[in-house]
Amino acid sequence: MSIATIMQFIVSGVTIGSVYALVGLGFNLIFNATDIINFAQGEFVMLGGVLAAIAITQWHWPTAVALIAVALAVGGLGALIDFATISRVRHASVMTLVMITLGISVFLKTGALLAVGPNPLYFPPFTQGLPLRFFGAVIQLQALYVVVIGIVLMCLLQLFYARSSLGREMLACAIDREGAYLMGIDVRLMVRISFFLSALLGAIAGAMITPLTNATYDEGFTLALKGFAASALGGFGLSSGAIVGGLMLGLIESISVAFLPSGWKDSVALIVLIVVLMAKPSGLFGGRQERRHTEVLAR
Amino acid sequence: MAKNIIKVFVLSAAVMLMFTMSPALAADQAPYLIGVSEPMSGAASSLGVPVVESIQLAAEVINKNGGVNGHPIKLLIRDDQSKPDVAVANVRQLIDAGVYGIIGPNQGSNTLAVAPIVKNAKVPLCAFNNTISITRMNNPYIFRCQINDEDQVKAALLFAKTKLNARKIGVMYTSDAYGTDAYHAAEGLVKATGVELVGAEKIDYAATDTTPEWIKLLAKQPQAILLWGSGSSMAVALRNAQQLGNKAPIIGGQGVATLGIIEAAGSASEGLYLMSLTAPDKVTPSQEQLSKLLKAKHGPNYQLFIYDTIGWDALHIYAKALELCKGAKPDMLHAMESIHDLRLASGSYSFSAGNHDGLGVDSIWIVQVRKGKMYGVQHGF
Repeated sequence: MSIATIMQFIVSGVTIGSVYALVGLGFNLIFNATDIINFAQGEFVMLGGVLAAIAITQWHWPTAVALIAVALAVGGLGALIDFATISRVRHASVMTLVMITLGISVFLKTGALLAVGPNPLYFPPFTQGLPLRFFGAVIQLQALYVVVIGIVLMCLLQLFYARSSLGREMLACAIDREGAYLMGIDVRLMVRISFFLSALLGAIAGAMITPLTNATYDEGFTLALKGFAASALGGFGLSSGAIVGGLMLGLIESISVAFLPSGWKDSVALIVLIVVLMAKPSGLFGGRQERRHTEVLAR
Repeated sequence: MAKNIIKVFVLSAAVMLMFTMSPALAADQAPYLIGVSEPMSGAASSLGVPVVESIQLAAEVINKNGGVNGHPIKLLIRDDQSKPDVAVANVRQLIDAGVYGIIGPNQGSNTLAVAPIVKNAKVPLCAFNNTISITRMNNPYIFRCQINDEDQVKAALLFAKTKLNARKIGVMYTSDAYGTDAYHAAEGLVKATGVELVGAEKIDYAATDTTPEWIKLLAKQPQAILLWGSGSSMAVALRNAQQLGNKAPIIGGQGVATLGIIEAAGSASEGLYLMSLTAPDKVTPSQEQLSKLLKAKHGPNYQLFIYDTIGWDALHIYAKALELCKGAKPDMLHAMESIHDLRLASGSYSFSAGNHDGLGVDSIWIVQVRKGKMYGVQHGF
C-alpha cells in the first residue's frame, strides 16, 4: 500500500472522526447534566445540515450568517426541548427520560421529512478551490474546516469549563448534582444550558459535514450511533474521552477498509468498542463515576 | 279515476325498473382495485415518489377514457418506507382489500420479502426491480415491469469497453440485493464481455461517507467504474469520488438515474453515464402523452425520467390484463402472461409463462449528464 493511500485513509478517518467527536461531546454534555442518553442528539446534527442547506441555497443567506443563525436556532431548540419535556418530568426514571428523547428524535426526523422531503440537500464548501495534496493524499478544503473548527470548539469547551464561572458550575453539577444544588448552583439552568450547548455542537457538526456528504432527513440515527460509540469508547461524561473516542472511531473505520472487505467497516468499529468496554467498562479514560471517585480520593 | 290508476301503475313500474337496474349499474361502475406499495419515504424515496405520481397520472388518463371494460381503476397506495417489513405489511393489507394486482415494490430486497405472500394469495405483482433474482425464484406471480440487471450490467460493460475504451473495470455497489446481484452478474459476465474486474467495494445502502471505499477502489486504477445502488448514498458516493480526484468515467445503474440524486450530487454528476429506459432529450411517440402531462405539472423544462415511465407503464400493463381477462380475477395471471409486444413509454413489453421479464436489451438507453441534464448517448444493445 502506498504512502499516499495510507495518508488518504488517515485524512478520511480524522475528518469523519472529528464529526463523531462533536456528536459525542453533545452526548456527554447532556449525560453529565441529567444522567440520560439523549437519542435526539443525531437529529440536532441532521437539523444543522438541513437548515444550513435551506438558508444558503434557498434563502440565499451568506454562509457565515447562515451557520451562526442555524447553530443558535438548533441550540435554542435543544433548550426548548428541555423546557417543554425533560424539565417537566425531572423526577421520572432515567428510562422514562430516555424514551422521551427517543420520541423527540422520531418527531424531529418525521418533521424534517414532511418539511423538506426525502431528497438530499447540499450547499457548497465554505471555501471553493482545489483540494490540497499532502504526501499524495487529497485533502478537501472543507475537510480542513471540519477538523480545525472541531478542534477549536473542543478547546473552547475545555476553556469554558476551566476558566468561566458558568463552566465550573456545570462541571460541579456533573461531579455531584446534589452537592452543587446545596452550594446554591441553579441545577435546572445548568441542564438547560447543557441542552443548548449540546444541540449547538450537533448543529455545527451537521453543517460542516454537509458540503462533503449532503444532508438528508434520516442521517441523524447513524451519526448518533457513531457519536454515542465515540463517547462510550472514550468514557461517558469525559470531554477528552469523546474527542479521542471520536477520532479513534473514525480512524478505525477508515483504516479497516484497507485490510478487510469494505462491508465490515461499521462492524469493525463497533467490535473494537465492545472489546474495549469488556476490558475497561468505563471506557479508555474512565467515565464520570471513576473521575468522581478519583477526585474524592485526591482530597 | 282511470287516469290516477294509470299514473300509479307507471310510477310503480318506473320504481321497480330503477331497483332492478341499479345493481347492474353499480356492477358496471365497480372499480378495479389496483394496489401500489412504493417507497415514498426513506432511502429509496427518490425512486418511489415519481413512480407513484406517474401511476396516478396513468389512472387519471385511463379513467378519463372510460376505464377498463367500463370500470374505473381505483388505486390503493401504500408507503413501504424503503423497508422490507413495511412492504410485507402493505402487501398483506392490499391483498385483504381485494386488489386485482399490486404495483411495486421498487427495491429488490422488498420484492424478495413480499414474494411468498403474493404467491400464496395468487395475486400478480408488477415489480420495478432490476434485481436479477426476483424472476428466478419459481414464483409465477412476480412480473418484472422493468429490465433485469443482467442485461443492464452487460450493456454497461460493453459500453465501457467499446465506447470508453475501458477494459479494467471497478465496481462500487450497495450491500442490498440490488447492488449485490448486479456485482455478481458483472463477475459472471467478465468472459463474455472481455473486460477485467480490477476491484469491487461494497457500501452501506444508507452510507453517509464512502471515502474509505473509494480510496481502496481507486488505488486499483480502474479505467471505468460501475456504480450500482440506489438511495441517497449514491449522491454521497459521487461526491466522495469527485473529492478524491477520480478521473475514471462512472457508469451508474438505474438506481442512480434520478433527478434527486443528480441534483444532490451537483457538479459531481457532470459527465456521469447512466443506464436508463429513457433519453430525456429524445422523447419517443410512446412517451409524448406522459411527457406533456408531466410538463404541465412541473414546468416546460421537465425531463422525462425512467421512474416516470415505468409507473405509467405498470398501470397500463394491468389495464391490458384486465381488458384481456374481462375483470375475472382468477384469470389475471394468464392474462398477464398473454401480453405480447405491448408498446409503452419504456419500450415493448412481452410476458409469457416462461418469461416474466418484460423488457429486453433493445429498450436500454445509456444517457450522459451534462450541466444537470441527461442526453441520450446509445440506445439498444
